[in-house]
Amino acid sequence: MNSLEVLQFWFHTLSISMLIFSLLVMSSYLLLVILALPDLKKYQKKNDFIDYQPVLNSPMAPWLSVIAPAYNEANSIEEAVRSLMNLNYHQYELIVVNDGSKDNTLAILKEKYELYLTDEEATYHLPCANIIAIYRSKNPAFSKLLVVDKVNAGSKADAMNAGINVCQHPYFVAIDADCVLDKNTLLVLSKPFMEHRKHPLIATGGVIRVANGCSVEGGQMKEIRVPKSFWAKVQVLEYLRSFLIGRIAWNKMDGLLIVSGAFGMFDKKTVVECGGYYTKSIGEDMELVVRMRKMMRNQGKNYEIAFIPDPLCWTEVPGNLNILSKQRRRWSRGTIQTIWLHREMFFNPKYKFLGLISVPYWFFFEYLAPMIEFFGLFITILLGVYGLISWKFLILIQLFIYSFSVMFSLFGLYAEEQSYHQYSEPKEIRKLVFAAMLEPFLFHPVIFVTAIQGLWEMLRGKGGWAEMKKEGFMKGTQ
Amino acid sequence: MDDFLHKTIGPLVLEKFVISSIIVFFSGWMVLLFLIFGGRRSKLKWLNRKNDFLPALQKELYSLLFIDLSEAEWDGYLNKIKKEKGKKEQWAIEVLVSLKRQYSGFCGERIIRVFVETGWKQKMQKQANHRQWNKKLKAIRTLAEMEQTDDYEQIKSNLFHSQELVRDEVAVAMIRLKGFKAILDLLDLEGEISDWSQIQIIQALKIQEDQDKKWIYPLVTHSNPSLKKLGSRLLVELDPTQYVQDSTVKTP
Repeated sequence: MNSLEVLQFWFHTLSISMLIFSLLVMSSYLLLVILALPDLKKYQKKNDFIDYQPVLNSPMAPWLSVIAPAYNEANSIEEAVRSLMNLNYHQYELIVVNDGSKDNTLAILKEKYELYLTDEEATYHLPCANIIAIYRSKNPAFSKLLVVDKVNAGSKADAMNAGINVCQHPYFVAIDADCVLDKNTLLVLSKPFMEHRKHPLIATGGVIRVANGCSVEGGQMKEIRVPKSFWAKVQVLEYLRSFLIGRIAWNKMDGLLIVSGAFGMFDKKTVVECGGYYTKSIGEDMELVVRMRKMMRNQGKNYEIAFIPDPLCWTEVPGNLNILSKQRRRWSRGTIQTIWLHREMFFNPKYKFLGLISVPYWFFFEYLAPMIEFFGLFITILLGVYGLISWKFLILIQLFIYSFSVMFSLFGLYAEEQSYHQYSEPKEIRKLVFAAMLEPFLFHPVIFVTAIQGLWEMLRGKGGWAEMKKEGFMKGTQ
Repeated sequence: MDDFLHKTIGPLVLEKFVISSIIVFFSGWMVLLFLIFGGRRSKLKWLNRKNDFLPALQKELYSLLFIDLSEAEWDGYLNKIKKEKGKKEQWAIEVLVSLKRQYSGFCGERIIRVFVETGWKQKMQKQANHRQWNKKLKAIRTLAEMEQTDDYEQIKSNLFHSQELVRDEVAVAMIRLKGFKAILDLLDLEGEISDWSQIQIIQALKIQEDQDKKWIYPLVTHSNPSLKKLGSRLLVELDPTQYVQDSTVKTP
């Protein structure tokens, strides 16, 4: 075998591997669609015509603590807290954790909500940076509110742990302070904890929707529109695919590895038992869920995690490439860190479906997929350049991947259309379809580059949260 | 080696596979686009119809519920509503149910009269025997909210339904219809009642005129843990003094 033949052999092996990998990814995505769509329909049938009124007034519904970490949120904190205090639920407390904000977040809270310094002391069940003070409101109208002022430790996980350390109730809801929540959010989120279950429920995850472009009034979504920015538009599609297809399907298979940090409800006892949020974690939401599941399996306890597809939580996503890149690099570092921390689960039959399918899938098909996609593109172009495959075939391969990619986005849109159809105007849907057609050319390269950058940063030991500048949408139309 | 992949995988096999896949995916696009835009159009059409229909319905219902009408006038308005079929009939029933949640007394009685005289009651009775659990569930809930006590036995016959959601709904409906006395029939229940439904049961019992609490006690000593829990919760909610005195009852 001469050197050219060796080279050809390796090119051949690589090409075939790429093709097999692509087919596996595509088949797995189609399987997710097949699992998710009927489940979404079933959920809607089950919850059609539901009356929340009796539960709204009942003290027997689970008692909740809503924990909202806030870091430099001076622009939106007043409105956000007001919105969070007006949720429909009988018994809940709102804990705002001021995570050492450098702006006047705390001062605004003190002034607007008439806060006074209490002599309450936190019990440090979970590790977190020093809690400086705990404030409550003098005004009985804000009796639900508790503000925790703590030293910033550079992670949301640390702020969440501080919130859990002071919370009084058996369940807590983790949310981002800048999210817009539907009035009935807590009722819907807590419902799975009150329903028939084979095993105890340890967490409920919800859908995050993109708020860019929408108008907000009185802390509630008023008009739902597709964002103007292309980057935000493709994230609408990405969130639809991820939540209405991916997470529903994984939850159905009992393999869900993530409950969004911006919106999820947890059983406090289980979270405390497993050590709370890992304060050095970058992707703290995924890491917590993986650790909770691992602990339950190690202890031989049966448990469940529920997922709710209702559009209850709206958040602002990065509207420009710079912020998007920062966010995705962090996500990339978070994913690889979580997988590394729990590497013993990889293909470990002890963890059953989670170890054999979920964790490896997350690594190969979620984390590595964009890299392999571009590596595959590079190899096929190289093969074309050296005349090892015809240009016609090269174009066909690209068309093959492109057509599937757009079809999968359309499945996400279809799921939305069949269920909640939040974008009422057909022109809004047209904008999303157009974005779906452009996405593989513009968004996928960004995901690929940021995945590589994230991995590189991780290897260089870069951790922590990059500050995400948001434009803010709480005070009106964006 | 001009076409490397073809030689190794098989002549044209790969290309054929890729081309067929592209055709399938593009066909998938077409179907999905048709479903997305077709579905949107159809939903908008129905939404417009609903927006046109509801104010007209509310006008007729307002006359029926709040104005003293002669029998002829009553029949006139009722016939207009009765004519509605399909989705419009479904919306009308939903509106009536939500009105029933808001009004009691004289107005509540009129709402029930409309429900019966439009024939919607028979429709719901029929639907309560439907094979699909969600339709059955909706009918049972509607009959209970409309206080159709004569349907109690029909509803009760579903207490052992294979779907736990239906069983739960039946338990809540029975309580809504017969109040504390329905507890006696619940004692036969072998399965669990979810916390969600227990809360609904407690809230339904709280608003009963006849607070005959003696029916709670068989629940407290019941062998079914779910019923026992319900009994304890009822004691806490409705009779806290007794709860404190009875040391055998544990906190739910």
